[in-house]
Amino acid sequence: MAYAQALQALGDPTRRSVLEELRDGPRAVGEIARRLPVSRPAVSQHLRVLKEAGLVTERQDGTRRLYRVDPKGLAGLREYLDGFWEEALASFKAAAEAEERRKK
Amino acid sequence: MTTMTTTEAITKEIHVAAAPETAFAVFTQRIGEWWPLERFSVFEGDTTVAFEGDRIVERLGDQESVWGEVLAFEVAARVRFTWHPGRPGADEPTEVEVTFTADGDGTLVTLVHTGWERLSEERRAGRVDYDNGWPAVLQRYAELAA
Repeated sequence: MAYAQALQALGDPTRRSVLEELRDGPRAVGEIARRLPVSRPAVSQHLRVLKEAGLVTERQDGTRRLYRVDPKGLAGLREYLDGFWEEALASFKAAAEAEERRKK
Repeated sequence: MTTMTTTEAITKEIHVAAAPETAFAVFTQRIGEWWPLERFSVFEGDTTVAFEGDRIVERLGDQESVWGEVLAFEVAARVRFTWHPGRPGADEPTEVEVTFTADGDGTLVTLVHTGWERLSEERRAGRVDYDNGWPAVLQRYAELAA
């Protein structure tokens, strides 16, 4: 499941910081590494995981490789939360209706 | 901007064939019986969750995790609480409001989960660490969903 992989990817605080750096627009690995207390190789590794999780896309811009947030990935996370409440409420409905029947 | 699709409130409506009084009581007093703990909990194992005074608390043995604090509690009508499971000290939690409205011979239960927009803006302004954002809230569920 894509969203499970995305959630796993976001389980790491440094990786979340890397993703956060991309929220205002595309950036190269070096730019991200300069803004965080993380080495370039580590940033590259985090970006790879984020990309595999569908949260980030990359493209070549001349000699630079730019990374950006993939809106589809974030939408998937939201759908997951949406489904989470749906499941919790369905379970609640069953319990409330069972209680109502018991009272009658 | 990408946040457009992620920061609107999440709204869920469900019709329950029970009186508002019953629905409200089951939601608040018996959450431990219906919450899908086997899939959505902070601790693994034989864990419980309950409204304890003005807090929603999950317990496993002597461990506790506060999921949220109750902000409003109107019997048979409305309950509103902050929501930050897995992050007991979250400074900027999101909020959930559940309303119970008589609907025919049952109850329309509406759940609105808000706060993404605020979190997003404050993170952007550098006032809130991303750690307190909603991905962190979700992270615990990932361990179970995987």
